[in-house]
Amino acid sequence: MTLAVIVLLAFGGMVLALIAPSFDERPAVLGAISGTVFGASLLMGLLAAHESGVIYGAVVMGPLTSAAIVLLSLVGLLVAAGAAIRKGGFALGSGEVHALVMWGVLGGILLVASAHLLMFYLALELSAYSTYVLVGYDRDRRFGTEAAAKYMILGAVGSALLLFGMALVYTETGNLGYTGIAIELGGNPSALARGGMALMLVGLGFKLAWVPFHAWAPDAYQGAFPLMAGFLSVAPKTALALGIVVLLSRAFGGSESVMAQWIGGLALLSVVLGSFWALLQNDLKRLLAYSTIVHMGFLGLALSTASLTGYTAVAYYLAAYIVTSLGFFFALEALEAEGLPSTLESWKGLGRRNPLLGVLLAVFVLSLAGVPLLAGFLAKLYVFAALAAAQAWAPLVVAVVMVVFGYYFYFRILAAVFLEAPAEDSPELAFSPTAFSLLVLLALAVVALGVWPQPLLRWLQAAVTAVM
Amino acid sequence: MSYVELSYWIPLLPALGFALLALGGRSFPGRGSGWFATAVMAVVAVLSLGLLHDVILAAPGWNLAALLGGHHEEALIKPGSPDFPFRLEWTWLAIRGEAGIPLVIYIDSLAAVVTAMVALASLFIHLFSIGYMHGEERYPTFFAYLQLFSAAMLAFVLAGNFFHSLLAWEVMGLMSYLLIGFLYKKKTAQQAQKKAFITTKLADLGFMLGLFWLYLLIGNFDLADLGSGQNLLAIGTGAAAAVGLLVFIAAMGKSAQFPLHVWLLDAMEGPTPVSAMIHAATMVAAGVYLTARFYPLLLFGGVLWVVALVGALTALFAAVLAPAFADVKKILAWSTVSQLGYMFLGLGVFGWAAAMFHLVAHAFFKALLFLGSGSMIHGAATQDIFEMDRLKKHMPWTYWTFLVGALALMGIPPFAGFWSKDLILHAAEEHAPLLWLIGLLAAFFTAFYTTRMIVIAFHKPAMESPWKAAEWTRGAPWLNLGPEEAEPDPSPPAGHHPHESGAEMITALVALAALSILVGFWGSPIFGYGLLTLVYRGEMPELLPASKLMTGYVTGTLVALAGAGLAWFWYSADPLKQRAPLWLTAALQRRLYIDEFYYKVLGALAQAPTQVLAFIDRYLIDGLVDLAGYTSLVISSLLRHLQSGRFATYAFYMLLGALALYVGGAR
Repeated sequence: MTLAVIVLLAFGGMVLALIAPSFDERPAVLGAISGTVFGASLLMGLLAAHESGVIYGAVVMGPLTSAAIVLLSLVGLLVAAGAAIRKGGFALGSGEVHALVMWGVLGGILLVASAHLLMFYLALELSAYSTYVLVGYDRDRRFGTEAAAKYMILGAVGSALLLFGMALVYTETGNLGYTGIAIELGGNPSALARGGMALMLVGLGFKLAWVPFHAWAPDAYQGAFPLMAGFLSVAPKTALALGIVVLLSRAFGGSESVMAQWIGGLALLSVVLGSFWALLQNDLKRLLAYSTIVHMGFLGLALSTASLTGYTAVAYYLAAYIVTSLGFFFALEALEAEGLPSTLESWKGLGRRNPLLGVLLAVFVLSLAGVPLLAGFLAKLYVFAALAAAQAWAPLVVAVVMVVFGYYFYFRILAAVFLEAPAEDSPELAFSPTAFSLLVLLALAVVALGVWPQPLLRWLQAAVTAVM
Repeated sequence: MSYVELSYWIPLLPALGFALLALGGRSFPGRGSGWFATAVMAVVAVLSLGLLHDVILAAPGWNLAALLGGHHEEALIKPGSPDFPFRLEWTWLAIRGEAGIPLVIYIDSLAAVVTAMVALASLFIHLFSIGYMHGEERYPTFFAYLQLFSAAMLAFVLAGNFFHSLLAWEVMGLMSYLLIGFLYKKKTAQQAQKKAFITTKLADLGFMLGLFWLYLLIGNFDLADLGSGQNLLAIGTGAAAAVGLLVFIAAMGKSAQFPLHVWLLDAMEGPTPVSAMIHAATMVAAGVYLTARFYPLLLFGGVLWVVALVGALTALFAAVLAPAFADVKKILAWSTVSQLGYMFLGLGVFGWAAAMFHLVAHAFFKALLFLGSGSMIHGAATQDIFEMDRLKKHMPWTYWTFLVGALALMGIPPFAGFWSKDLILHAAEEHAPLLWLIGLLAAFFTAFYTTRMIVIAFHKPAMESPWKAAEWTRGAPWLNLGPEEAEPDPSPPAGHHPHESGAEMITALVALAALSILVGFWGSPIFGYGLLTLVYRGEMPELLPASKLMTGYVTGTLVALAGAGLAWFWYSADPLKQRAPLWLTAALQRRLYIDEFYYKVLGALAQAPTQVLAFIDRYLIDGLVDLAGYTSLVISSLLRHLQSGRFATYAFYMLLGALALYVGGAR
């Protein structure tokens, strides 16, 4: 099934790219095809849970791969549906967008499934190249091209360092397969190997937008379509975080490893600095970029414990973040499609102009902030539980304090939406039914995950246990 | 599919009904929302009766003669089915196999009986409200609230985990607040809802403290395990007493026991179906139910006498105050306080099963009385019994059903209160003779005020209400109302003719009358104390004391007849004659000045430290908070400069980071 998913997504993307020009006038057809492919791969992902074995010594089949297929296909499915929000499709045609999203998802799946550093690198690049293009897709956008250029050049720097790090690890161990590396490194890696791991971490940290490798994120988010920014905020993150779970547990050895400790340091730095940066943002997409940095910081804290509790927390965090973040970005996309720019200024009084939209936004924002009974709260709670179980008291205290900062910048959005009066001449706010139904669906998911997390948690825990 | 497996729908259905009515209640045409809510409750009632049926089949059987002798070891003749008490469990808030706080539905006999009681009472109160609330501006909202309240009460009764009991308990508190203030344009209603909320909330602190203390001691919230020997050993006598009493304080608040009874009278500002449902039949009973659930702790801690004492005093106190009032709802409110006192008295004197019997019987006949009073108010357009004009002639259905409820309340055989109250008194006679005398005295006053109410409202022509102009009844000094807002309740408009209420309302009254008679017989010796033996649990010290049962029944009846006779003799002759000294009437009508005492003294006591704290908060804490916020913003604006927008700078950061890690790594 895993193999079938890989083939399906690769060919699906190709077909979409080839037939795209014929459907420029009818983007909905392309969206439907893309949605069908992702739906199929999601179902196949569920079926793949019982597989085991390794293909070509590089792609692992198993519960975690299956979980990655399901989560990333879900992202793909939602983005395919979200593309319908913008009537008339995207400036340069929608087919390529769907194809790139599909390849991005494929890269992500391979990243998690990989058992070999070369595979890891190829998968990472496949997913990265799709996002480079997606960020700069709208040539007419003021920041689009600039953001894409910056993102790509910095991405190249990151990739180069990652590759260099891999080379150093190879020099020291003579292996590129995870099992071989783990055996050669043993409990105490040499100085050279440590250097290699450090350089690899730069490349990984770049994709996860950990401080100080985060600087591309605000520009990229601001320059992209909100839908693509949403994709950027969840798909590569999900793949990378699960990929690091695999790397840590299969290759770079457990909670004692220096890699886990560095991740903890970078994560803490991201939580703290990201929160400070977010305080004064007035552009919602930049604000959301810093919010992503902070969230990835929380995620990294859980990763750094390198424990089953921590990894389960990571997986739940990702699921919660997918529904919450996509929900918020869909709202941004719908409002931009209605001509409302993504700034705090123009969102003033939104809750009065359209109360139902206000409530939906509140659900997503409160979940991002981590208010009880919503998915975001439990996500943070599980991270804190993992830190407490690992007796990492100092990061725990800092993280809890930074949640308060989070309340400040998230509640600024809510204050603008609900407390400020709309501008005098603001017209009736129209809103597409597609967007509404998607937002309601995601908001229900956010509440459901926050109130009844048990089934999801059990499933994720089973998937994570398989790699320990 | 047994009813046990379906039991989670019992609280879930009305909760869904609430969501639907809250979101789309306005789209129902006419009385549609009322009928919808009633239909939901009808399904719930069917489910709860089915559940009760399953439980009766599965419950253990007892030999009555042996039980009455107190030898419950030999009394078991049919062991309960192996899975009884039923338990449905779902994990909640658990990670990595830890227990978390499991969602548990725990169904023993008591839970099943009370669930059926709540569902039936709620069903008929819904039905009654369809007609009673007609023409109300927020008609769908009213039914939405009733639905959520029913959901919370049913969840409270079925919860097998005290944490969820607490959640449901708080939702009930909130609904009580919202429904008392349903007619929110009335200043008195606003004040009353605040008073009720603050009083019960203060008491609820006891529940939380007790519960969390308990958790520290035994590490779970499980209801079924509470009384296990191992647990009691871990808790110890002193802590058991303390936890039990803390929880009992919350129960006193919810069940309006002296000295926390003050809110219930003002709660009568809510519409009458609310008074029937929340402030008579169900929510106030939650306190008794909770105390019954913590019974093992109270017993083990040796503090049952506190419960008994509070109950007996409240029973007498409220029964003495009731005859001084002219508002039919307030008389019934005092009666509720007094009857709840009897239940606590029963719990306190080892009459656990008798108290539970009275809980169920009282729920039906008090709902009946309150709905009857609603029908009276609806027909006569006044709440003052003196202004009601020979309602027996105009409202025969209301009269006869009300009479059934009144006879049950007085304890005249063969109505429900006779069977249940006399068992409580009987247990008191055996274990606490002094409290028995207090209870008898209260029974005398109960019969007295009930008869007075019936004679004046139903048999006498309308007259000038004697105290309407009296200076001490005007407004409510403890509610802090200005003189212009403190007008007495309006008299019926001139030319108003009393009329019988509509069909739904009559149906509800007749059904409740039938239920209150039936449930009385179920617990009577004629049917072998069926209800009592059903809820009886082996670990209770006794079912009933065996001796002198007949004497107890006769004494109770005689006392009730005496009270009723005196009232009949006085009030059918001359209802307006002033028989008590005026100062006494004034004191009783001002509720013995307790409310005023709270308002003035406790209010002032509470305000003094508040002033100090407010000063500290405003200048010291706020200052620190502002400083922290300001510093953060300064840091943020400084950090902003790092984000220059130039990608060479960004790449430099990355290399710097790589270097830092590399140096760290090569170390």
